[in-house]
Order: sequence, then C-alpha cells, then structure tokens
Amino acid sequence: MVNSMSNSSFFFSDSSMAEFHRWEKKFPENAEGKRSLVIPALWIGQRQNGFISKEVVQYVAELTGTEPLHVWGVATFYTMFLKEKSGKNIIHFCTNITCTLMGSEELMLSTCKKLGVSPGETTSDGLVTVLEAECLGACGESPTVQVNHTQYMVKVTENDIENLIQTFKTGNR
Amino acid sequence: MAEKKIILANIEEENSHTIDHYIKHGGYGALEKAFKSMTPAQILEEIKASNLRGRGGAGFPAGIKWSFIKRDAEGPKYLICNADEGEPGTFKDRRIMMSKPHIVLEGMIIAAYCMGLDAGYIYIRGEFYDPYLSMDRAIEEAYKKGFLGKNILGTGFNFDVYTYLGAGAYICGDETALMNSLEGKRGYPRLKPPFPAQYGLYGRPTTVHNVETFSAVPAIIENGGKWYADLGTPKSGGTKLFGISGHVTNPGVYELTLGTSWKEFFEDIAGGVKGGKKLKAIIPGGSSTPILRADELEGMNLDYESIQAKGSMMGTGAVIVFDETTNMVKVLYRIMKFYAHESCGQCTPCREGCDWFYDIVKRIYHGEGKVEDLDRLEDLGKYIGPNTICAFGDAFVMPTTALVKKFRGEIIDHIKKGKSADLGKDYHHA
Amino acid sequence: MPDIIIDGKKVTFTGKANIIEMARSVGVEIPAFCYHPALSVSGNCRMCMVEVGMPAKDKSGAVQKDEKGETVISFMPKLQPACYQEPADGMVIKTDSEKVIETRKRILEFLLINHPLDCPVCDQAGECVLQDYSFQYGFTQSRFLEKKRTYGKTFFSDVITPELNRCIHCDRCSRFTKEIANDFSFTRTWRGNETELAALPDMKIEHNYQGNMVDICPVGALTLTDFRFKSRVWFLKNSEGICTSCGKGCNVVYAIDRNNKILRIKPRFNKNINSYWMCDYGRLRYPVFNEKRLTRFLIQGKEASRESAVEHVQKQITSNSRVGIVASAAESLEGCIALADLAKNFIKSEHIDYRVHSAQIKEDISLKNGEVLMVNDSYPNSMGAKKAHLLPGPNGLSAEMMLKNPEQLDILLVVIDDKLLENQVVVNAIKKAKKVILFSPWDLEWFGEVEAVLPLQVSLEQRGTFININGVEQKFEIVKSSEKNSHSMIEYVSLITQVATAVR
Repeated sequence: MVNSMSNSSFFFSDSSMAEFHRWEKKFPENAEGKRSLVIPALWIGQRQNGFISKEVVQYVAELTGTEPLHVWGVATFYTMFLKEKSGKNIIHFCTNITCTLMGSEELMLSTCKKLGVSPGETTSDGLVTVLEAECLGACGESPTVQVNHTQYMVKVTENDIENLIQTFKTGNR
Repeated sequence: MAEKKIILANIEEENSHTIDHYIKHGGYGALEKAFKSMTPAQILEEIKASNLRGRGGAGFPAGIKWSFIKRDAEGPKYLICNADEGEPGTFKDRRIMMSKPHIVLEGMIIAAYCMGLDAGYIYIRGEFYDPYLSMDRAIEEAYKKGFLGKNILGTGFNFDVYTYLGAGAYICGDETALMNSLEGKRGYPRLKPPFPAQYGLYGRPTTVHNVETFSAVPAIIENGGKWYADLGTPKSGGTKLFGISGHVTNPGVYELTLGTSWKEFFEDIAGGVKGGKKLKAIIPGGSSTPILRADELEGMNLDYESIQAKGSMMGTGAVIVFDETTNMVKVLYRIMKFYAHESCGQCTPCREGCDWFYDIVKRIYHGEGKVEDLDRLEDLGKYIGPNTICAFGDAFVMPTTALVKKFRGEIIDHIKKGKSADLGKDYHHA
Repeated sequence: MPDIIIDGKKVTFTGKANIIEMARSVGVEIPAFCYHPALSVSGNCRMCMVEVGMPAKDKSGAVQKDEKGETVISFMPKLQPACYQEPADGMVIKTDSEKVIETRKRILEFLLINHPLDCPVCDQAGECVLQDYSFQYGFTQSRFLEKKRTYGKTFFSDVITPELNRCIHCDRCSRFTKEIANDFSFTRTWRGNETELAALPDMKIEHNYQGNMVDICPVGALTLTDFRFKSRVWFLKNSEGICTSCGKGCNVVYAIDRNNKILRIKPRFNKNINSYWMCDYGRLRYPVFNEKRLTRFLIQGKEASRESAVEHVQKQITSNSRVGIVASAAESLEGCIALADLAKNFIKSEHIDYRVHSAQIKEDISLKNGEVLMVNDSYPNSMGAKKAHLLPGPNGLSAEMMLKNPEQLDILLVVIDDKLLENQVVVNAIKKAKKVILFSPWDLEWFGEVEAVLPLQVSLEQRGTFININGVEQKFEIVKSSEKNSHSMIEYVSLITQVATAVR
C-alpha cells in the first residue's frame, strides 16, 4: 500500500513529454526499464519546473510506476537535482584541486562580492545562484565554470564572468 | 617511448567529431575487419595479446574481463561504457567524447560483437552535457551508416547503444554503483561477488569499461594485439592518455606509449613547471592516488609497474602538478572536502571515517590542529580501506596518508602556527 | 554433506546457509547490527567481519598439507562479512583472531563518534545492541574531538518517536518497511554522513506494523511513543504469552512492571504464525487490562461476599426457567468447556452462544509474503469456543437473538470481555433484560444495579489454551497476577456447581 500524496498539480508540457518519450525508447519495456526513467524524468521535470518540488516527485513517480519516496530518495542522492527554488541562472564554480590552483576560489569569491551573495546563495532579484561544484573534468583548461547545468566555460577570467552575468540580465541566452 | 597519437590522431582538426572525418582517416575499418574476417574468439585473442588494461583507474586486464562473459549465455546481456569521469584531475574522456566520439562507438561495437552482447549504455556524468549531446549525434550518424542497429554489416548481429545522463555523484564511477544508477536507483555500490559478468545491469551479464579502454580497441584490431603490446612495456601494453594540469606550462591531454619516462613527458612535452618555478610534488593519477614528491620522481616511467614501485598508482593518468608555492595543507583539506561530499554513506567505516578525516583535516587547516591528529589519521586509515564495501575507502585514505607522510614537516609547521597559519589567498570556508 | 569449520567447530550445511546462523548453532556469537534473519542481507554495518580461509591448493589442484599433515588454510587478505559470505565446503572461519577483534573495536568506534551519549535518557538502554557490543568489544574512551553530526527534529509517525541522532544507518527499518510490511514509506534519503532515514517530507508512515521497526532498530533511534520514558527495561518482568487482540494468536512477550501493570507487548518468534512480528493494533491494546478492573462481588449494585454472591447466582440460574448465556471467545478453551458444561448439564439451557460481533477492527493489510497478521476475527479463541460447543442447541436462541430481544429470557447471563466494553448492542440488551448476571473483569458504570456481577480474570491471568483461526492450539501461562477477588470461569463454574474440578 503506497503512502500516496494528493494528485500532483505538476505535469509535463508537450515538449517535456516528447523528450520523455525519446528516453522511453532506450529501456526495456518492463517495470525495471521504467524505473530507469526516474533520473531522466527528474531532469526533464527540473528543467521545466526549475527545481524538484513535491509535485514533480509525485508526477515522476506516477510516470515511472515507482513510489514517490523512491523518487525523493533518488533526487536527494544526486547533487545536481535542486531540492529548492533557485535563481533563474546558476553558475557552478569548480573549486577542486586544479581549479583552485588556477585561482577559481578567488574568482568565485569576487563574483559573489559583486553580486552581493555568499557561495550557495541566490541574488535578491532571483537572477543568479552561485554554487560550488566538484571537479568538472576540464582541468587542463581551468578555471572552469558550468552555467545552468549545461554549458562549460573554460579558462575563465573575471571579464568572462562579468559578460556572462550581463547576458543573464539581458536574457540573451 | 614517446608521444604517439592513436586515439588522439587527427583530433585537432575541426570536424574530427563527424563520422565522415572519422571514416576518412580509417575509422570503422577495424569494425569491418572484425565483423568480416574475424571470429569472436579471434577478437578475444587479440585483446588478450594486447595487454590492454582498463583505463578507468583500476587497470584490470581487458582480455580477462571479456572472457568472463559466456557468449552463448541467454540474453539480454549488456555493455556499459563508464563515462562518469569524476576523478579530480581527469579530463581525458571528455576530450574523446567531444572530439572523437566515434572511436568509442567503434570500440564498443567490436566488444559487443566479441562477447555477444545485445545493447550498450554510455553512462555519462550529469555535468557532461555537451559530451552527451556529442555522443548522441555520433550514435545517430552510426545508425545511419549501419554500424549500429540490426544486422550490422550484414552479419546478422544486432547492437543498440543509448546514452544516459547521471546527476552528480562521483561514486557512480564505481561500476556497480553505476549500474544501480542506470537502474533508476540511488547510486550505492553493490556487494561483490557476484561480479557484473554474472549479475550486472538488471541482473543480466554485463561488461563495464571506461571510455578510453573502448577507444583503444579499434587500433588493436586493425594492427594486432602484439603490435599494441609492443608499444608499451611487457606488462602494460599500448598507449595511454595522460591529462596534465595545475602548475604546468602546457596543460592538456597527451597520448604516450606506456613506459615513456616521466622526465621526457613532463619536461619535453608538457613544458615543465609553469613560469619556471620549482616542482614540489605531483599527483600521478587523479586525487585517489598517493602524492609523489619531486625528489621521488627520479627514474620513474609512466607505466603501471614503475609508478607502483614508487608507491603510487597509474589511476586515470591524471597528473596534477604542484609548484613550490603550493600550500599542501590546503591541498589535503580540499581533497578530503571532496571525498566527504561524495561518500555514498552506505557502510560504517567510510560514512563515519570519511567525515572524521575531513573534520580533522579541516581543523588542522584552520589552525586548530595538533600533531597527534596526524598519527590519528594514519591509525584510523588502517581500518577503513580493508573494511569498506567498495574502493572509496582506499580512495580517500591512501592520498591522505601519503600527503601526511610526505609533507609531515610542512603540516606540522602549519599546525604550530595555529591561528596565524596561512590559509591561501581569499580562501573560502564551506 | 558440505561443512565448514568455525573457530575449530565443524558445522554442516545444506542449501542456502548463513554463517552468522551457523556460528550461533555451535555457540559462537558473531556480532552484527544490520543483519536480521528475516530481512535481506545489507552488509553495511561491517561489524560481522571474520577471517575466511579455504584449503590451499597447489598448481595441480591438490590440497596442500604442512609438515604435520594438516591441511594448509589460505586466508583471504581482507576480512569478509559473515552475513554475506557464502559458505563453501572446507571453508575455515575464525572469529577470534586479533585482526577480527581489533576490527570490531574500530567499527564500534566509528559508530560511536556521531552517536550521542544518550544512554541516561534513552529507552533502549538495557536492551541496546550498541551498548552490549561496546561493553563486550569496544574501546572505553572516545578519541573523537570534532562536532557530532545531528539531524533536525522530524515527525513521521504516531507510533514511533524518532531520535535520529542515534541512528547507525543499518537500514533495518527501511528494509522491513519494504520487504515485510509491503509499504514504501520509509527509506534512506540524502547522501554520505548526512544520510537520513525518512518518510516523504510532511508525510506519515501509516502501516500497521510500525512497532516492529522499533523492535528491530538496534539502538534507540526509533522508540515506541507509547513506551517512551515509562520504565527502565531492567525493572520489567517479561512473561511469554499470546496476543488476545484477534484470532491470529501471535506469540508475544508481556512486560509487567512492579505494580502488576502491563507496560508493553513485544512479539516473540514463531515460525508458523507470526515470524518475528506483530501488528500495532495488538501491540497497543494492553491498557484495557490495566484499567478499571473489578475487585468486588456485587448483588444488585451492593458489595457482597463471595459466598453470598455465588449462592445468589446459583439460586437464580437454577430457579428460573429461561436462562440465556452470551459467552465469550476471549476465554481460554478450558474456560469455554467449563461454561458449556455449566449450561448443558447444570443449568440445562440450550441458549448459549459465543458469536457476538463486536467492534469492527481496522481492515487488515497483508504483509509482503501474503501472510496476514491481524485477521478479521477480533477474538483470540473463536475456534476454541466452537470446539467447546458454545453454540445454541436445536431450540436455542443465538447471541444475536438474545441481545436483540432479551425480554424472551428470564435471565440474561453475559461474559464481558475487552471487546464488549463499548458495544452498544450489549449495553442496550442489559438495560432491556429482566434479570442480568455478569461475569466481568471490569467495573463499568453501565452495569447499573444488575442482579449480580462476579469479578472475572482475563486470560492473561490464567493458564490455558487458545485455538487460532487456523486451528493451531497454543498453550499459555500466567502473565500477570490476578486482581483482588477475581476468579477464572473454571473456578466459578466449580463454585457454582460445587463440584471439584481438577483446575491446576
């Protein structure tokens, strides 16, 4: 007997659902294959909703034939799933060994100063969240920064970050 | 022994990621040869003869791993490409996936044909969004050309490959944790035995290999296992991608024949320490490998045995270079911060021990350490590594123990300075 | 038959065998936290690590022998978890080597660094595995100088009060919830040292087996809200018994305090009936046996002596023509037989029936293996009552009829049990009936001034037999002392008929 929540108010948009269908083709058509869809579905849900909310959890559980608590357990295990509302844009600064040797910490802290936040926080206008990342796997071109869980920027300078924040402000992404 | 571009051949060119460019330079030729003029048993023999060892860090002989799968066993049987490159300092697999994705696919298809596998998954870490798109594009191209899908090259062999995106967990680089993650679960490593060849993805027989290991396969098939083996040393065949970063003049990924001297690589190819400073130490194979002081590198060659003889490991071949200005206490602190963040928390020694190590090292870094702490770390470490479910225990104990042993003097100086110890520029305390 | 040697003792095994169990069978105790015989093997606590060796073989495959002709055992370089290691013929296990003993110390040390020193305020003290093992195998001093990891306050259950700081992450609770209770409402969330056993945020665990999670938690991380701070366990007297809340007959242990009150019920292992478990409904129903107990004989509302009360009852039931007896299936088999005998041979009435349908009990939830605890019959001994033939004769009235129209009878005799205390049908019948005689363990206001009330013992205060709904006969012993002046049904029948029956 599943401890069920009220029916979710979140559901995939058409484009989200289309992407989900593309993922469905990758796995066997049985309960195990459906369970494999939890992480892809959470990604799609996060992209649409901004973060993994209670409703997203419930919806993904229904979609994949799994239990809401299982989905929540998965969402909390993996760092890239945001469990609470964040800024419109996220900058991840890698602060692991090589990037730190190449000055990523200073870069992060100066960026934070300019934005008026501490690492881990979101600007008051909700535009940018600054986070620390573990090794992003681009050490030869450090310091490295990831934007909105997708784009990498390498050999990053203060100038680059300033331009980046500008693009956030003008919405040219 | 020197730089030799096999995997990295032509990778600088603009369209190196396209199938046309790949084929133009001989790509998928090995696939044709394997499918049309070799039997699976012959392919296995070549891989065994090549001395190819897993390039993901464990260095397990590929030929032996491939022989674990019973080709005639009932399907489905799976192939997994471990593209969860998370070991700090490592960036070679990303290079391959971005600029030469087809070499990975070709290696996977040959491997699948040899072992009689039905489908392959490329598990890509969540941060590698662009490599994921790159692999998807390559897979689409490969299907179009008939190298994937049904009846490949008219042999009746079917093979499908799918990409999968992780979501930020270093532990999913462990092969059984990877499989749990692929199955849509929390990425906990599994108890072994059974091993993936008996019980893998969805409980089916599975072979897991690193991106680079698959990338080495086409050349072996093209030129023969012995050719590959002869490139390297008697126990370590072929070439390996070495990523070098940190305080080095020419950071980047280089392909070297195994056995190349460290001196040649570091000084001639990578340009030595940046800005002409003095070398202090290196981490040879990613943060899980013990650090080596500059004076310990005398006579070291880049192969599994030579590095092991120096007290460290090949690992992923990710070299991190530290010059004389590096604060080793900070390095120690940053390494432990990473592991404390990434421990899965399943078993007692790692869950409690890793955090304990981090707390001690953090305290030392912030000027509240005691000399006894260093002996404590060494003492605790002895009972973590042998008692954990997976290799994560060793992964944080070994580098910590090495750092403490080899830079004991510097760490004690830092401890003695107490609150006035240097924490580095603008440090950030998390 | 294949066998292994554990600390020099040979153990034979068949099929799937577990080394911890095998060791126990030869008196070797291997400590473990996360292992439980009824749950899947998790292998995460690493407390049960032992030395594992196999006979060494030379290149030809022949077993090597040393100078004395003994088989050379080649031990694995690393210790292996005994819960997970598959035994193989010829395997040698050592649980007392220096390496094993030191490893246990270290594992305990790791578990204790973030564990709060709560023993003085923790319910689990005295039955805590972590305490016991620390005493047996652990260090006496802590070397931990850092801050302990803590969790925020959580609420996820009415039955369980959590103290998550004490959690050792053995994962028994979540495995139980999934594998036994067939509910996915509690599991590990987050990662690393911040791993937290939790339900969905803002949600509760609702299944009927939460008390078992408290039982199997090796420490005081999950405590029973009902038992919280009530007593130290070493002041409790534990008596084995049978649960009386339904017809399943789960085997339990009653914990009695110094004032003869039941403080707690815990399940007891029975391979065929309830395994290691019991339901929350049965676990939490004991207060009724502690409260409002009847300790006087009453005739028309006035206190009387035993002799006068018994005599009065005897006169009433022999002088009136129509006597109806509403019997109880909460009585032991022996009590039912005595009552049936009274009805048939002494009173000579055909109007006797045990089938009173009492308060509805919650719909049952079956466990994962299909086994059902808490069955639809709320009486522990319906089969026994049936066997004792507490049923109306060919012209006799059923319980339903007797209770609906009690005016048909001259005397309505009711055996009050814990299921009838709020039963409106019975309350109304007693009001309507001409004359009422009650055998009751409880002193209830709605008795009013009925003809007679005799204080009755509950089954927990007697020896006897229950037959569960599957026909299994189970004997039980006295769990707690009886209340002042109360007697068993057998004694009353004997007194009333003045016939000496072999009681004890």
